Amino acid sequence: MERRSGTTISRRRFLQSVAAIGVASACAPSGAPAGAGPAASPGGSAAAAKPVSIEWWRRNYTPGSQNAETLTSDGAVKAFRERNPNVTLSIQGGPFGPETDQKFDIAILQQKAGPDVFHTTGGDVLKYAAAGQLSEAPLTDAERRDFNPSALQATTYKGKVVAYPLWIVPWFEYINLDLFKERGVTPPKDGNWTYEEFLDAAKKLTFKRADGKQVYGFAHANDEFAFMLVDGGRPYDKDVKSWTFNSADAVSGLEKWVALAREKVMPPDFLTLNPNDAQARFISGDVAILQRPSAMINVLNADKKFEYTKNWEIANFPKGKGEQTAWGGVGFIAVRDQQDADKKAAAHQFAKYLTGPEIGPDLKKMAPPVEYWLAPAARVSAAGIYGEYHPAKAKVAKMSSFTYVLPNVRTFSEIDQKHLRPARDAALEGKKTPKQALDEVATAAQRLLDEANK
Amino acid sequence: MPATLRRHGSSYLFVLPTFSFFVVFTLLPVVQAFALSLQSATIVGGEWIGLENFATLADDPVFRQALGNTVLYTVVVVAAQIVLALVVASLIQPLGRKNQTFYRALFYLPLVNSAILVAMVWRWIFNPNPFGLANTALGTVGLGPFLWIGSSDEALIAVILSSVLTIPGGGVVLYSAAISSLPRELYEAADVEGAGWFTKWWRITVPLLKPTTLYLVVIYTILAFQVFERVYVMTNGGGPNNATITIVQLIYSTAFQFGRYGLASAMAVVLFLMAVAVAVVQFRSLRSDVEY
Amino acid sequence: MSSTRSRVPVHALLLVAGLLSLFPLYWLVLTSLSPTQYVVKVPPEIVPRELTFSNYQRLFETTPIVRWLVNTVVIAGVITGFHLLFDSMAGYAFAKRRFPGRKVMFWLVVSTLTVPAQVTLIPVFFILRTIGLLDTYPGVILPGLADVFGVFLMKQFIQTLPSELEQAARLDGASEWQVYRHIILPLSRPALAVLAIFTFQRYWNAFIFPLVILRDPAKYPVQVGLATLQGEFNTDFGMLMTGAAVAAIPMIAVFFAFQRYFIEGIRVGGVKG
Repeated sequence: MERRSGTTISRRRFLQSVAAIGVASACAPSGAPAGAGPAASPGGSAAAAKPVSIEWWRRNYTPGSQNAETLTSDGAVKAFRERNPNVTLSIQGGPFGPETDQKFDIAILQQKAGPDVFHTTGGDVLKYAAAGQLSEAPLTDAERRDFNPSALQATTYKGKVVAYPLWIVPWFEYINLDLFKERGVTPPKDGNWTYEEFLDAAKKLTFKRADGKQVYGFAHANDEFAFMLVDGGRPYDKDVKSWTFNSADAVSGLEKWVALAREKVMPPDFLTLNPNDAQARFISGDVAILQRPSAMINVLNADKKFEYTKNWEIANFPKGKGEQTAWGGVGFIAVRDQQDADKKAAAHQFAKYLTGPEIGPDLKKMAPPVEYWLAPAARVSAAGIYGEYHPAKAKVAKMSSFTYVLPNVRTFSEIDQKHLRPARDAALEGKKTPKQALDEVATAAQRLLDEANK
Repeated sequence: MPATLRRHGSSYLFVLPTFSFFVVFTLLPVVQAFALSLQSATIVGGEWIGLENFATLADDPVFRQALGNTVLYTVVVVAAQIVLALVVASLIQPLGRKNQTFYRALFYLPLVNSAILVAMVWRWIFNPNPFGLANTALGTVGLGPFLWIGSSDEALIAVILSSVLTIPGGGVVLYSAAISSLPRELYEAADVEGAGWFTKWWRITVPLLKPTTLYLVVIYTILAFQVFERVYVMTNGGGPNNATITIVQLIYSTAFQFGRYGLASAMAVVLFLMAVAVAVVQFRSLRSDVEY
Repeated sequence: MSSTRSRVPVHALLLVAGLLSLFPLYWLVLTSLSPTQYVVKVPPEIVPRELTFSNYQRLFETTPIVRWLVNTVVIAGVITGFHLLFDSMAGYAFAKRRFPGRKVMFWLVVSTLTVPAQVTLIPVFFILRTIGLLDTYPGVILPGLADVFGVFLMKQFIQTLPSELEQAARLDGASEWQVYRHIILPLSRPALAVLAIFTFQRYWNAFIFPLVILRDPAKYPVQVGLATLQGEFNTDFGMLMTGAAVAAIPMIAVFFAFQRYFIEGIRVGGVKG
């Protein structure tokens, strides 16, 4: 399961935001859009006077619950309505997981009906675009330049921008400063380290305590390929026409990864760790360096044992032969292509708001304040506020400049799950050499890439 | 003549309610889904391509892996479940009413959980670390630690064990109900002839239970062929290097993640043919005209 | 039966086997009583150090668990009720009545059991949409009546009932319905009890289907509701396990309510009219 849009739960915010839930206006639980009703004072941005109601689908939105998706969605709707009182919004959610994805797919792909605006991730964008279900985003040139270029490219289908990049979630290293101190390892200065320094640290941080507890230097969850990028390897060439993940750079990147397994600096279940497990290991002090996305910052902040810069820090991804890089995922807001022009226009307006620079400050001003951005925004003009939430997040915000976002290929899910991951596993288990494993993937991957480009 | 028609008419009426729902909500969808297998139905459109999907499957090593995993799982797990359910139910029978109630409840209780949550627990049990529960238990007798779900060699074994190590409560309850219905006279007659407990069990109980056994064998086989959630939760999908990928898992990802509904339907057809063939054999071997 | 032989080894064996099978359930309840939230303890504790009811408190205070449970009772209960009636009727016909087309129908019914639910999900969704039953309780209940494993079960059981009883009744002039109602049904109580328990449990745990059909969270059955406690990166395990523990209670109740019907059996040789 490769969900990559970062979502988190902030304990502090829950308790503070309970009141906001009760106050949030357009949370009609049923799917039917609520009736329109203009509010007293009109908002600042230009809004059509005609009342219109649209439906927003947000995964993991659960009315009345305390999770981040619910809080930020309710806040967003409330703030948008203040600016555009003629628009009524109803939110439809669903528990996180492949079944809800299925439900969305059925509605959008099969029924060709469904939400007016919705939240989606990389693979889905192209799936829906290929089915002709997405409406082109009307962006001005200035707006276009404002977006992170690779995020924008990831949402471009046959030359048209079919969704608004929302945020870029970088993966990076969380380090346990207590363990570093205990083993006399210096944390990387300014968060920068080479692969060799990283491996060295991981080796020193793998040890057995007197009471028999085993500590490992490094761990990651099983849905990543970050190390393969380290020496400059990339899955595709610049035009996204050729599969290049079996290039010499990709192979040497994988070899660096396999070295970690060989040196046994990773726990024995490293091939099976899902995100929750990986997090649990770091929090219990089992693992000194954990590679995770920004979502874990909120979890650590909520835990009394972890004080930023005292017990934990964040560091960049280790640097290999290539330039400094980080692996990243992108979340999008998409607008469905439909007949009703008013609804479509309102949906586009809402989508622009959700991905733009105004929403962060709007929600921060609410009482109690809501942290809207769960990951650094994909638009430069909106990126600042994420850093304001917390110093660790300020560091993360700076990573966007070198975060590599996977270009969207409609068939990547199949390449990944059916071919690339098993090959990676085989190499990491030592059953095949990295070169062998990656070469075997290449033919199938190229075929699927060609199919996606047709 | 009219009497015969009337006789059959009432039979059809008895079957009508179930069959009507069946036709609308099962038969029609199945026919539709099978029709898809002859098309290249994908997100970007579809056209009739005859048996091409099946040819693709024949060439697909991942599908072959899924087939092998599923068949192995089914053979081992169904055999274990039938034997365990039968033995446990037989052991419970002579213990008296109160004990029977207690044990039936004890063995049924594990079933009240959602399968997904139980699978999460088994994931913890077969955790590859030395502190994993299975490893800890084995460690006390000096065995292990094993990699279980962390290794492509052992992951399938861990999954199979998780199913085998649970006494199948449904089977126990069913056999128990059936054994309660068996007439006592046959056993009394056997006692008179001096038969021992094993003979009585093997020669009277087991044969008389054939209808129940047939039901359980067929149902358990079908359920085992369809194994998905347990494996999905225990091994994050297909396990390291596709070691635990199953047919339904592949159907699921092919249809809902890769968007190839036609190919997924073809897999469902293969599964269907396989399972029906096995069911026919099972019906033949466990046929009985037992009435009591 | 030899009553003097010691039963202790048998009891010991059964207890060990039963308790081992119960281990996942024990673990579940344990986690629900532990102060964990997002993270399951590493290494896990078999004997708990701390027990608390805070998860239960949070569950009832912050989630509509009661609503979910009520929904599920309605859905599972109605489906079970209909199955008891329909499956025994159809099972009787397949077991005892020789009518043309019987073999074909039966094989049609059993063979489609092999098709996994994921395959029929989308076609069923569209059928419900055509009839206009999306996001309704009937939309979740009616497809549940198409489930045929109960027919198979009842057929196998009714097959074993001696034919003399019904034949005697027919000679006395009873109609088919009367035979079914007064002879077959009472004798089938053990099987009906099993059917009730199995069917209720099956629909109590239903997840994918209700999730896809329903949109209104107020109609969510309990498994769908509990799934909303899972996040992408953080799952509230404490509440999840607690919810599962609470959700298990009605099923246990149903089990105890029906399991006393297993005791009945019939005695051959006493053909009571």
